[in-house]
Amino acid sequence: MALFKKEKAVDVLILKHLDMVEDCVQASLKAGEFYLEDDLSQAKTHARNSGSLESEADLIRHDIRDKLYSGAYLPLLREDIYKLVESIDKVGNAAEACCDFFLNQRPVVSKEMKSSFLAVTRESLGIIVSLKLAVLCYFKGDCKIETVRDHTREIGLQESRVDKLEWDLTKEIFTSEMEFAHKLHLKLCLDSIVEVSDRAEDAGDQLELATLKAMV
Amino acid sequence: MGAGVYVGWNIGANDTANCVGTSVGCGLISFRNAVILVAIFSILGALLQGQNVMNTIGRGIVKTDLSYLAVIIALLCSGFFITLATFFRIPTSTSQAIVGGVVGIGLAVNAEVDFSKFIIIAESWVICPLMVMALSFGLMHLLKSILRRFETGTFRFQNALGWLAIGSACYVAFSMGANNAGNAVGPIANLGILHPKLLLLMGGLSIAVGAATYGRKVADTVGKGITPLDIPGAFVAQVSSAFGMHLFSLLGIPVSTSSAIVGAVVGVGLVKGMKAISKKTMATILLGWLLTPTFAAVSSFLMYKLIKALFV
Repeated sequence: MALFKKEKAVDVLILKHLDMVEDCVQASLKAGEFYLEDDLSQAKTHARNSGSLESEADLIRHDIRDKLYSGAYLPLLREDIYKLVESIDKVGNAAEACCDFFLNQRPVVSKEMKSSFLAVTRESLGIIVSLKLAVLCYFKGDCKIETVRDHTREIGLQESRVDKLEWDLTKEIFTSEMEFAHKLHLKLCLDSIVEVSDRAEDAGDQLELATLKAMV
Repeated sequence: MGAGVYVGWNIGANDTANCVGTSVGCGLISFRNAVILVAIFSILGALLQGQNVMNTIGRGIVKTDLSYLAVIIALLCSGFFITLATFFRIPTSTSQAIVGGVVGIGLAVNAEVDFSKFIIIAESWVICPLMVMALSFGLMHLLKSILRRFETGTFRFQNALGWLAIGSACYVAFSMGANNAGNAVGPIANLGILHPKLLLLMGGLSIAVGAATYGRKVADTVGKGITPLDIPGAFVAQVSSAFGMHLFSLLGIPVSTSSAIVGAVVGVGLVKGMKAISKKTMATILLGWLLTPTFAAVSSFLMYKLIKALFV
């Protein structure tokens, strides 16, 4: 059906972009896990993959922007749609930056702290699963608005769990016997890990805003 | 004819807001695009269904043929008070102004004024907004319950709803052309200068020019001043007011586009509760409705008497 053809094309691209961002975050997660397990070769492979997936996601985002501003959707909705896409894209950017931190700066993580770093990495980057579920639920129109909001609430809860892990690990870092520079380096590494869940929470907020606007 | 074009321009400047103010106000469409739609659909409305109101204004109220001077004074006095209201961003009734002007001039020239017709028209000015208010209140409740049942809020769904709202704005513009073009050119119709269809085209075109050049001010009042509207609200307000006006156009009764849309917006606002209605804006609008026809009638009466006394 020719009706709303442009809008359908944008929706397809948004879902493709979401898949790409998810793959990028998953690749970053694997890279982080392999780095923390001292398998540098595997970590590099996944990090390269993450980088190329993020670049592809950017290209799709540009395509979405061009389609939106060449007439898809009413002007009133365009900004909300693009803001949502941009916020999802930032999750991918943060995941790629986290990967880069591991492989470019090679933070030295002691054996005692490895499990904590692994836990916070999995929790923070694993947030993409909840985010994808919420966005799919909204865009496919299969779920009720309340269900979408339940999913966005879950993103918020997961981000809170990441905050808790971050607090504990920060304390662990700064109460350890390491050099101060080393402590700061690990804190920077931790910051780059939790940035992913922070950006995912922003994307969840953006999605929740869209659902609120749709409520009558 | 110049005076008719002036009234048409005023109608466009003041009543564009009634057609698209709600859509522009909720950000669905830019004012520029809205004006293009108003121009197209008001001309169509004027050409296809403007005849009935033109007949009422031309012969329905004042039974005697008016002179050129009387027609010019009636049109200019009505037009002046609409310009004044537009300047102060008040969505006044162009129909009320022109009917007031025609009655005033009819009395001034000692012509036979059909007061029974006038009372029917005046009653419709009260009935139309109330009817439209009730309709929009009911429709809004209905739409809300439907939307809540589906509970879907995808962007594509909101987009479709937005297009429906734009479509309803076109319907308001059509009804406005059908009802109000006759106001602008009705008094000239009896002078026999142009074919009625050409006169209606002229009325429609002058409305379009008024919308493009001076329609922005009142659009802000209707779209945002009374109560902030969302997409479903804009759709319901526009469909209700367009339906009310269309009905009265078919009956040949010149009703106020402004009172229809304001009634509809209030009906939608009432669904959210009394607090959603800006009482100050409402008071200004009601005052405008009362004063415009009164001033138009009194000024055209006095102006005619003055010119007669001084120059004739």
